[in-house]
Amino acid sequence: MGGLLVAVLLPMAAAAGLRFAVGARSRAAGVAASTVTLICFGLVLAAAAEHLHAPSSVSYPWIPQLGLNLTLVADGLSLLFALLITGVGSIVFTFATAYLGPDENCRRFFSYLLLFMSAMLGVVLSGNLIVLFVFWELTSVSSFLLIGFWHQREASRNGALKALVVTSTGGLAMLVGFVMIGIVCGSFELAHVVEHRELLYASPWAGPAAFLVLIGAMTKSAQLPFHLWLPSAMEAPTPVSAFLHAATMVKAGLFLVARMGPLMAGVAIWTPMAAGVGLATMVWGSWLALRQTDLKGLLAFSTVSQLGLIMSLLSQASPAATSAGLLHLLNHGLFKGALFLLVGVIEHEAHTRDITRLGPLPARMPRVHTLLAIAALSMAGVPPLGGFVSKELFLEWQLNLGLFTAVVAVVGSVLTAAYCFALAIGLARGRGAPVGEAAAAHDPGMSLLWGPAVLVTAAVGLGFAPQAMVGSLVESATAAAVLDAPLHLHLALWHGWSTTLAASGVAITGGYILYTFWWQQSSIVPATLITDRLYSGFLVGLEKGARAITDSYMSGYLWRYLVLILSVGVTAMVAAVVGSGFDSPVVWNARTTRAHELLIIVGALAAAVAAARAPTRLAAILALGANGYSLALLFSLLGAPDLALTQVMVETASVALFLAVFVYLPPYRPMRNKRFRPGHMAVAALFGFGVAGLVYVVRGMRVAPTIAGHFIAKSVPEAGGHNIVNVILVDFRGLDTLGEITVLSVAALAAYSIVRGLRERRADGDIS
Amino acid sequence: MGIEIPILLLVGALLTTGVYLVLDRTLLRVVIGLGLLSNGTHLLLLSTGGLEEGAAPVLAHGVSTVVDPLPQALILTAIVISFGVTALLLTISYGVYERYRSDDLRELHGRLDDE
Amino acid sequence: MKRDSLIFMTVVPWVVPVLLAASLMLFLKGHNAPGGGFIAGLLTAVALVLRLLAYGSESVRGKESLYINLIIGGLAIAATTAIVPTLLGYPFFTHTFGHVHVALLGDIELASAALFDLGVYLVVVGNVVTVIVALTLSDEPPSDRDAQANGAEGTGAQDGH
Repeated sequence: MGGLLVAVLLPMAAAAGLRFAVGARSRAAGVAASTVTLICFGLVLAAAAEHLHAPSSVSYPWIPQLGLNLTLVADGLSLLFALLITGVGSIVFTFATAYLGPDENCRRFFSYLLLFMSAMLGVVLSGNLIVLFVFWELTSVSSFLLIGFWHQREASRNGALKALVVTSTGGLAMLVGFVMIGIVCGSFELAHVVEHRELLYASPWAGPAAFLVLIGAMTKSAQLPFHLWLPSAMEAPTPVSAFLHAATMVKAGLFLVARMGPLMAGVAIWTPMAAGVGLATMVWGSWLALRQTDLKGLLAFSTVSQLGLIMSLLSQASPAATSAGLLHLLNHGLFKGALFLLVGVIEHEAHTRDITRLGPLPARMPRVHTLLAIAALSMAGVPPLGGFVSKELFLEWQLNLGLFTAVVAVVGSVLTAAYCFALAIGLARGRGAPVGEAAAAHDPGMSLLWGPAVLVTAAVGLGFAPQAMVGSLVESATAAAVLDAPLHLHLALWHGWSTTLAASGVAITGGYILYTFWWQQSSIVPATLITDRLYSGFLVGLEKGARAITDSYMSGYLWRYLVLILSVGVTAMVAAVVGSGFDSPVVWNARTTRAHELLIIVGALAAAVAAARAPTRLAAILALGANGYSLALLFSLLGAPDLALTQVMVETASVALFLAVFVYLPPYRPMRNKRFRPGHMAVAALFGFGVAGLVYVVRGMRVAPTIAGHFIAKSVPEAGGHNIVNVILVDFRGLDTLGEITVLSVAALAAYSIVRGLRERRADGDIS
Repeated sequence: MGIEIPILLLVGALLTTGVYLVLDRTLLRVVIGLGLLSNGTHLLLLSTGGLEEGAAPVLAHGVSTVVDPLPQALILTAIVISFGVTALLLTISYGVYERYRSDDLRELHGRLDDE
Repeated sequence: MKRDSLIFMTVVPWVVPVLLAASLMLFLKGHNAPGGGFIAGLLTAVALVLRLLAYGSESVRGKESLYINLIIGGLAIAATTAIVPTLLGYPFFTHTFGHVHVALLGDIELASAALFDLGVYLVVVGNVVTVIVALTLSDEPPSDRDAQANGAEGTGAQDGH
């Protein structure tokens, strides 16, 4: 089990370490990253050998106070996905090392890619819902970084943002669902939750939780109506598309459906919603794929469609359907990974991926085209390739389910076969002659070909010997995804004559006819997605709305903000006190007032009014000073000599400061400023006397004695000081004082820099 | 009459004039208002100590009861800090005037975009 | 900002040393009587500002970095007295004290808290003086600017000169 932890953490550490180990454009980054991936693959293989038939889990405390553990689960499901991730990852990483141009920032690319792989492994291995969510979001973030890798291009940035917005919104929905589950079942540990699933079924939260979790899965796996982000994500470098947007990340949603299966299968909306969305996505996605001229766009919609197919199977909570879904998922990882890499090769060599510009491929790129055709035919479900086996199982399931699903499944399969033939046969015939650089394209060296070749070989092998290759893996994974599944899986190419076989035949024949009809159309116009328009409209609306709201209160006038803040603040304070119902009589035990104190208080009041009404600046400054000095007197009479001294000094320094500044300021404009503003005065009086009144009431409600006794008693014996105020400042509350002198210093340095900046500007002649 | 009532009335008046000036459109009056506001706040803090009969919190022979020293320590640093804030504000208003030739917030409104 | 006031220039040389001595007293006695770093620092700063007002900005030109160093040094001293106890195995901010007898000043207590207070003192002096010196040193406004401002405002009162 320790090996799996290493497999999760090692790529993350390597992603950080690359920064220090290699140069930005060094190809060594790719070599190092590929090595790390291979090590992870080895670790996962070792774990699979041990745990495939003996599932186990291990928990590392992370934030135990919150019940958060880094729980890693090694069962069939997690191992199947981990093998797919690290296996395809090994090939994609080495492919990308040869694929990236010499001017690309390889280090950054592979750092992101490693980070992604780490996150993806975390998602599939996690046995804790919150940890799963954290890794889930990490895949969204790393996918954002990878789609936007060519950040100079606007399309890349938009695509990255779109993917992030859609998938992280879904992720948040999923989190809410997880929290519901966690609260109802009393833990975020998956094993605990599944064990106590009856609690969820009995609670009213079951439906909403299932819905929200499914939203998360649908956004990640680009299901209708969230499929808009995947085509835009094709702006990523092709190895990224192959790895994230075909083989792994988009499968996270499927993984989630399979992982939550044991829990959610008992919730009524789960299966109908997921299966319905899956089938609809399959049909609509393949229809859109057929209408693409960009090879990557075609593959993107084909991925959307295939993910829908798998989704419709995995959500059934039936051993037969789930095993079919998992097998097709493996198939898809292989043939779609290969297809993406091959399209990447075509673009690399021909500098275009537009079907109408490529011309017939076999003459110039025979090897590439052969591999491409095999992979595409596997996707179409043509025997004897791997895709045929799982497609058969899919059709068998849907035919048994009912007439409606059977028709939908066959229609989807026909459309799928049609675009697959467009890839396999269409590219051989070409749509017109090659244009520009495409004419001079040729097969690349083995460094770019062996990766797709391995994947295609595996895809072919899955057709001939599915049971031997993945039988036990799929069986064990199905056992993990379906409760109490007595399953004796027998995967084989030949199932004998059956209606399913006939349906396959219909699909392939119909697909071929549709393809030939379609291929002869003079022009194909790629559709713009309605959801895409909705998305852009939403973004624009969001920006406009936010601006409108902000503009409505951010007037830029200080007094308007203050009036708002103070009014709300005073209202809240008064409401709080009135609401608390001060039943106790107001008792202060304050000493009585002496006559001369009253005099000083009146003096301070007069000075304050004078400062407000002063006709000139000098008068205002002096009035403020007089107010300060009166306060100093008052402090000394109230038993605060330290305060009195401080106030006197500060007042003196302040007056000097004002004098230093005000020679530069323009004179008051008494006529305008003396205008009395009753509104302002009302707010000010409400605030001033409101606060004073609150203190009057609240001080009388005192329930606990002051802590002053503590300071008075400890001052001499513990701090050796008789001046308690000073002892508090430098000793008892020394840290506060340290903070305060730091603030003071920052203020002074800021003031100094402002003045200095002004002087330099003036010296440069910026200010007259 | 207990001393808390005249003191709190003064606090109310100081906060009122302070806020009224802070709401003004002349920068210097805003700064002066802030000064009055801090003076009022300091007095307010002191009054939360209770304003009871007692000597200054300096322990010496013959001193039996002293007033609450804790608010005093808080206020002492607050006085110095408000000086720092006043200094910073004054410098900023000086800088604003240097650049825009105005100390009137209404005139200055939106002028940052002119740069 | 030079102000040629005869009285001012005559009195200041006498007053400033007195103020400085008083601030020293306030600082040393601060732990046991009203006073301490904040107050002594402010008083010293006031004395320095008085000197500045009397002798004009020429007397402080080029000394800005000195005052900034006071701030930095003060902060460093204060922080050090807080941190040193942790190095010796005591809790953060542990202070200790003892008594010595000094002629003229009487019983002086030597407390590590006084070192912290010294930091406070330096920071306060540095802060007040830095700001006021910086403002003073910013050049005198050209005389035509005032005229212009007054002209524009018409009724504006000319004050402060």
